[in-house]
Amino acid sequence: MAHRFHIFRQHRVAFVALIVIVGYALIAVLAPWLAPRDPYSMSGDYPLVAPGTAGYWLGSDPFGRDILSRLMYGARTSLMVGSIAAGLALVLGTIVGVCAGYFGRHIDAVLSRFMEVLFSFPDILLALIIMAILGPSTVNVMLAIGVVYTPIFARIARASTLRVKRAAYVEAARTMGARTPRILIRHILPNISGPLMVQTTLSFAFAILAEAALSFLGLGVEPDAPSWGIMLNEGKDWMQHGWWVAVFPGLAITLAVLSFNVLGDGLRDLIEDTG
Amino acid sequence: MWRYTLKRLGMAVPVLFGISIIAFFSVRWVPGDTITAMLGAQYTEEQAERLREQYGLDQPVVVQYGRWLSQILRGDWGTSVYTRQPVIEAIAERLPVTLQLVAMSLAMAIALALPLGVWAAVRRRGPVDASVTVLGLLGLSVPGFWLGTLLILGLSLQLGWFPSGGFIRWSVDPWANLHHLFLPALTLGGAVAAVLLRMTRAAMLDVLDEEYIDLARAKGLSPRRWIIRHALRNALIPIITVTGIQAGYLLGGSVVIEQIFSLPGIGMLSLQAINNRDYLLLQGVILFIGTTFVVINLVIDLIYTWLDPRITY
Repeated sequence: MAHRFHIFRQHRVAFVALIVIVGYALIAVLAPWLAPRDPYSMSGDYPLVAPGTAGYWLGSDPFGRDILSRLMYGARTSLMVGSIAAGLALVLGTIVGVCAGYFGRHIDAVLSRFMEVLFSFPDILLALIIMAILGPSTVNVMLAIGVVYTPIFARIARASTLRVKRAAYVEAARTMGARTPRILIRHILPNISGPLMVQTTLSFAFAILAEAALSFLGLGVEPDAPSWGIMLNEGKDWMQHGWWVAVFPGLAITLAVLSFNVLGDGLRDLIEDTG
Repeated sequence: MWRYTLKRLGMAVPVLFGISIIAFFSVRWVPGDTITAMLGAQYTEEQAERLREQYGLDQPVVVQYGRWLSQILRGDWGTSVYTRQPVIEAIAERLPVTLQLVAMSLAMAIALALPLGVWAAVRRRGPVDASVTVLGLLGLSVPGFWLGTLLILGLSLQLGWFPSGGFIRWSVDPWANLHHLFLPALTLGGAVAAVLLRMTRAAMLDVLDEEYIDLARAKGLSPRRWIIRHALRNALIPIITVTGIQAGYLLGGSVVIEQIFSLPGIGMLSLQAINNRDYLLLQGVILFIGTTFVVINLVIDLIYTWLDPRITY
């Protein structure tokens, strides 16, 4: 009974996380209508205005831009980078992992070594190197983060494929003359999707963190783009004069990342419970 | 055992080769020319040509790679075109800072995560367990660069308890050295503590379900004895593996943390190399960090076999 209750509670927490994520998504999509001010418009009259004054709910930054509006537009940047980077890593990693696991032998050896090389760099450093090559831009951040997280998906997909490919239904499909692409898509993919789904959710969290970190270091999205990482970078030199410039962007990042982590944990429990 | 060690060593060779290729070629694609960056705004084409020749930058890329690799293997990592300092020397100079930062972060993370994780697992589903779960998730989700910024704002700028950045050598003043590194290590260690905490709790929960734990408790062993001698010892293998992986992660995380706290370590060196388009220096740093990562993983794998007698190869 206690166990049942625990699972129920966990799922309830995961459900709350899902609602928060949907909230972020809505804000991101509706930012042009929801934002009280233009996120780019600078105002020399209102630099570093404290939260709640002069119509700036969360205050203004050193350039007089509205923090709330920039946070809302920042949600666009974060979620867009998160979804495309995680999606890219999922697609690339699954292709590599399934091929390595299913075909084995030389293909496996080459692909696995290659993934291992990518895995041999701390994630942020690899992303930094890729960004240094490509130059700061939103598209490049997506690419860089996607490539960095590909090996994790490849590893999971490979392990799951190895487990599934000996299953009776795959053998049956093969003896009945199904072609390889059909086996891969109809029989292997659906049966390895659980762990990949969990990893995708968790990668969303990583990707949002990575985008913010890269932008914080000045090697992320375009310097004038509203990004939580850039806001923090600009805010840190001014935080002594106005704590809000450093606090709110960090809260926005933390809540988003936390929600994806909780949802990922919840999904994992769900999959493990149902077997 | 020896055969496995040799085989594992052999597997690392192609990976190291791959790292060298990535280190070398990726840097060639960095936009901007080191030479023109070095000469500044006013230079003649002639000067630039002469410098390119001097650094061998006029040769085909494959030739440059071959030359570079053979030099690397002989221990000549080249000279930074920007500071004119030998790359090996630059790395050696910065390495102690990063090593100390990583070691302190890891020590803090272990000191925090191991007891808390064990405690949470033993008191499963109680208030302690719930708090530890929340703490672990928060630690995973709070960005290090934000945590660092907040710590500077609160503990150094407002309260003045800690310096807001900079580094002082241990040999100069041990107390000031620890004082300066405390906040950076706490920031960097926080995320690692969260991962370790979750891993320790999960590994302990797995072990606590085993029959030999019931037996140990039924025999009337003291809690300290069955928790540490019987449970923790068996849970250690996954914990050590994750610790090793985290040690590698710390190398990457230190890039951001060193930047926030103005610590002159390897992380700051790599950012400088990227911003200055300092080819040889950046190559050296990438090669160094990649190789370190591979060596750490190798050591972890070998410890793994050594710790767990059930694994034989």
